[in-house]
Amino acid sequence: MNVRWMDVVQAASIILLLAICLLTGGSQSPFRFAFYPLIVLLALRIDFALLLKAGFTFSILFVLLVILDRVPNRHLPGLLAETLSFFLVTMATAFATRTLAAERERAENATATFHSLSEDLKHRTMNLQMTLEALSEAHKRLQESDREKTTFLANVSHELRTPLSSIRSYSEILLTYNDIDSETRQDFIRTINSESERMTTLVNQNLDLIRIESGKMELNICQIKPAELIAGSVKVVTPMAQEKGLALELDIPSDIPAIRGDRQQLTQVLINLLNNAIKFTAEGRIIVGVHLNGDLAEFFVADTGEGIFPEEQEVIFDEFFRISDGVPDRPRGSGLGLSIAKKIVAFHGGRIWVGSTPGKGSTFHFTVPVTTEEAGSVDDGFQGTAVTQGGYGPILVLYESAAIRQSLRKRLEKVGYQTLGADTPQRGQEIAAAVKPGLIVADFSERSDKVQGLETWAKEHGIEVLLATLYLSPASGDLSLAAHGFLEKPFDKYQIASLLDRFQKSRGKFSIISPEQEEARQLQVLLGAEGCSTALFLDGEEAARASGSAPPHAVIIGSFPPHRREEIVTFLKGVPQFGNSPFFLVQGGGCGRYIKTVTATVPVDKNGGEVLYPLIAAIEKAYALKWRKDTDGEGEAYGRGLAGG
Amino acid sequence: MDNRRTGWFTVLGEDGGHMAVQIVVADDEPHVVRALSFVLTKEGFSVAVAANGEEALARIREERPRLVFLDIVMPKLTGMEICKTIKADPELKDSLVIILTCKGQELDRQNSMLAGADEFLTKPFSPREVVTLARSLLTRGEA
Repeated sequence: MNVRWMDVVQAASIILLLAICLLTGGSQSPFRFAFYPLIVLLALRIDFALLLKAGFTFSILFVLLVILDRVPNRHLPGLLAETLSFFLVTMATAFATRTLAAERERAENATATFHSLSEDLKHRTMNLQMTLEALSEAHKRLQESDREKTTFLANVSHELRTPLSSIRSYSEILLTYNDIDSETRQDFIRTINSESERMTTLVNQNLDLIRIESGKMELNICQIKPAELIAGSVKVVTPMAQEKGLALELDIPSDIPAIRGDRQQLTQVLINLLNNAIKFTAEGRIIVGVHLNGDLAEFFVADTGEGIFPEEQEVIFDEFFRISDGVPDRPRGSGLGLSIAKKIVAFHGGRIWVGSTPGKGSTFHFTVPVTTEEAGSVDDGFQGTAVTQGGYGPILVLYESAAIRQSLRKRLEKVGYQTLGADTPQRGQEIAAAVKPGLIVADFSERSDKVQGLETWAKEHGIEVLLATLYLSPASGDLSLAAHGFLEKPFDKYQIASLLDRFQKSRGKFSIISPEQEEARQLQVLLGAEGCSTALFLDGEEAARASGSAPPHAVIIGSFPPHRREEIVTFLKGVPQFGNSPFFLVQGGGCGRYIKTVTATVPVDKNGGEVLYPLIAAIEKAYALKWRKDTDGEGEAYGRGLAGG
Repeated sequence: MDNRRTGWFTVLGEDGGHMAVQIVVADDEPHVVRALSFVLTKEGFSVAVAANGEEALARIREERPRLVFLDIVMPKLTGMEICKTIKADPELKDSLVIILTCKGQELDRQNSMLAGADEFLTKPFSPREVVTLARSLLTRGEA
């Protein structure tokens, strides 16, 4: 309504100006040059219909003036014609200018729409391209694994047919002929027996492999003395070695610490290695032992056998590879022993390898982490002591990756905590039900729905749950890759505030690299509300190009798949102006309000322990909180402080 | 089993005498060789055995057997190769060939037939069936 009022005022102004014009001499008016542009300007601003009305009103006014003959000293028709034509020219100019301006505005709008559409299209195309790449990658992986499974099945059936054919032949022979002498009969029965044993081993090993592959193998982790482990395995293979006249020697230093592992599985690994050593050694000796290598116990089985050629060393741990294939008079195995050993060792967070000189012998090595029992020993300045654990239960570390789990447990044990480990939320719940831990530290980067079930359960049982995102640093061990922090979906202003807090810069300049437009826009809006400027990009290259010589204060990396994320971070670390910009990673959502979120990176290699501080600090706080809650009930306030920070 | 290692072969006549070898059995799996030779001997054939491809071919050249059992996967020479050699040699081509294999695929059967094999047997096999097959092949050969 105000605008209309303004229009009326403007129209009135036009009429007034024209009237002044007329009264002061029409086209001869001394003001005409000043009034002409003024009228055009006013006409431009108001509604055209109103303008016509104004013109009409003016004409009537003029006619009235003429009728009343109030126009002084003028030849009326000439004056009328002059003023009217002046008005018409004014109106025509205003109309043309208005039309042109509107036309230009429309064109500009169209160009802008076109640009934003083409930008949108570019984003979509790139998104599609990335999706396509990811899909074809996944497809390739699936095909690969399908082919592996088929090959595996074909191999298994082939391996089963051989002992089966012996069993079938000999049993049928025994059933068919009654006149076989008792010695031959015994021999045939023995063969049936041994071949059925061979089949049983094969089937068991296959089941083992399947269980390991499907991740269903549950390690029964306990502390084991390496000497006991070796003695147990040696006992099993001694008869076989004696039969071949081979000496079995032990090499175990007395100061070797206990290891952490599944006794049965690790014994199996040692037996597999010892069996092979005995099988492929005609004469000489076999040495089995262990020595300490940093944080790892390195077991070895050395023989004086025929050795393994370098090209065989590469494939010897593959399923169904057998040295004896193609060579007569060599002992036969299932071809699965080493492949199983490799998988068990990997499950323990260790590594297996072989060194060999053909003709001289081979040595198989494998590593298992040792337990660190030196409670309270602090090697990195972190002031954690067992005292903080108070009277509460141990910390349950729930991580799918054995490497992360072991690394984290070791670190926690180093600063004086007792820990337990579990690889799945279900297993974690079983353990928690039995032991009642003081705290559960769980991974939420994966399978968050299942973790959530555990959280709910833990909450009901009064157990605190800390969720942590721990990142394995890449193989290169480059710590600079570690993120400076994380943002969780759905985003909120508190997260942004705490991010800016950490980063100690308001009104900063952020680069947001994200494959998801929605996510990027949300961040843009939230950061914008805090007075920060943002720029959105689809990938690192684009960000690097656009930023020129002025780097952003921080980079937020959106919901890319982990390997893409790593690529982007690696790329940006290589761009000089980005080299020092902190990185924040976006996490998928799924955590409830009551969960204290802690973020930290855990490099698994030896020297990067310090990045675990934030997590350990949070654990300390969580225990302190629990303690205060239990003693004076003021924990809530403290808890909020922790959650907020 | 020790006999296999020394490349041993023998003529196992029903009467223990020196009758002509009728059948050669070649397989690198000692249990298979033993079972087959046992049954065939029991049924009145004289049998010679071989544990690898080269040995098998040497036996065949020496003995000119009427029937040969060949495993496909054998060290040194595969059953297929031996079969082709037999069928290409004018002096040996009258020997009948039965291919034995663990691989049950149709492709193996086709390859065996292409190599000129007279029959194809998949492990595990029934010794009785083997004897019946050998008998019928040999009578067909005589007829």
